[in-house]
Amino acid sequence: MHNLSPLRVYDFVEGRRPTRRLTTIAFLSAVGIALFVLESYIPMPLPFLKIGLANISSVIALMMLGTTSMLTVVVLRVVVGSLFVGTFMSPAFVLALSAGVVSAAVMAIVKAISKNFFSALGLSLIGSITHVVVQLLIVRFVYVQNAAILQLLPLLLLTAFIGGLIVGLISVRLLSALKQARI
Amino acid sequence: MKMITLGDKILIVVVFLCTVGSFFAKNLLASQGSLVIIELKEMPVYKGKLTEDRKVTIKGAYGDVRVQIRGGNVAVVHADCPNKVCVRTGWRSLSGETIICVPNQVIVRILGEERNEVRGITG
Repeated sequence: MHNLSPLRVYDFVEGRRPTRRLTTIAFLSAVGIALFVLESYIPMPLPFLKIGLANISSVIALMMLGTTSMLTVVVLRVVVGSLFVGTFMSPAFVLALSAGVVSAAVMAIVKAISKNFFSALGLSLIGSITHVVVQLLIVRFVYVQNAAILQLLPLLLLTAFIGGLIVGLISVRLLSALKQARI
Repeated sequence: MKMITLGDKILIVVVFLCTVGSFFAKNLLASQGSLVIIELKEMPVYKGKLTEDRKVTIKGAYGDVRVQIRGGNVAVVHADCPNKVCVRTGWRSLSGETIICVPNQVIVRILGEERNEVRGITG
C-alpha cells in the first residue's frame, strides 16, 4: 500500500505505514498547539516561567514515531502556536524555536545512545532542563549582554524540574494507555 | 508504574541536587561588579570604583540619599523617602545590579567590564 504514497521520505526514514504516521504527527501537533495556547492563559509570576505542557506531544512523538516526527511536531507547534498567541517572530518565538529544536535533538540523541536506560519521564526531564539552559544562554549572549541574567538559572532550573516531572509522568501514563489500546 | 526505569530515578535525584545546589551557587553565576555609577534624574553624578570604601550623599528630588560603598558592596544606607525600597534592597555587588529610589529619582548602578555599558534607561 505504502509505495503509492508521495510520502516516501518518511517511509524511507522511519519505516512503514506513512499515512498512519502522517495522521499521528498531525494529531500530536494539534494537541501540542492546543496545550501551548491553553498554557499561555495560565498566569505566572514571570513571563518565561512555564510548565511546558505542550512538550507532552513531542515526548510522545519521540517515543511512538522517532526523531524526525518529533522535530516536525516541535517546529509545527512553535510556529503555529505562536501565530495563535501572537508572538510570531518576537524574541519569545526565537527562544521557543531554538530551545525547542535543541532540546528535541538532545532528547533524541540521549534516547539513541542510552537505549532503554531512560523512560519518557527521564527524557522529558532532560528535554526541559536543556530547554531552559539553551534559552538562558541565548538571552545572555544575544538579547541581554549582562552576566546578572544568569542569576535566574536556579529559578528556571526549579521550574524545569517540576515541569519536566509533570510532563514526564503524564507522558508515561499516556504511552502505557496508548499501548493498552494498541494504537 | 513499571515503566519508570532506574535511569529515571538516578536522573531525578541528580537534577534535583543540581537545582538545589544552583540556589546556593547563585553568586558564582554572575561576575562581581567593579564600577559604581550614581545617577540623579538620569544624569550621572558620581562614578567610582566598587573597591574604594566611601560614603556619598546625593541631594535627590525628595531629600537626601546616603550611599555607602564598603568592601566591594554598595547600599543605600539612608534615604528621605516614604517607602525605603532602596534601603531595603540592601547590599549589592554583582555586575548589572541596580538600586533604585523612585521618589528621589536616584539610580545606583553596578557595572562590570567595559562592554557592560549602559544601553538604555527605561521608566
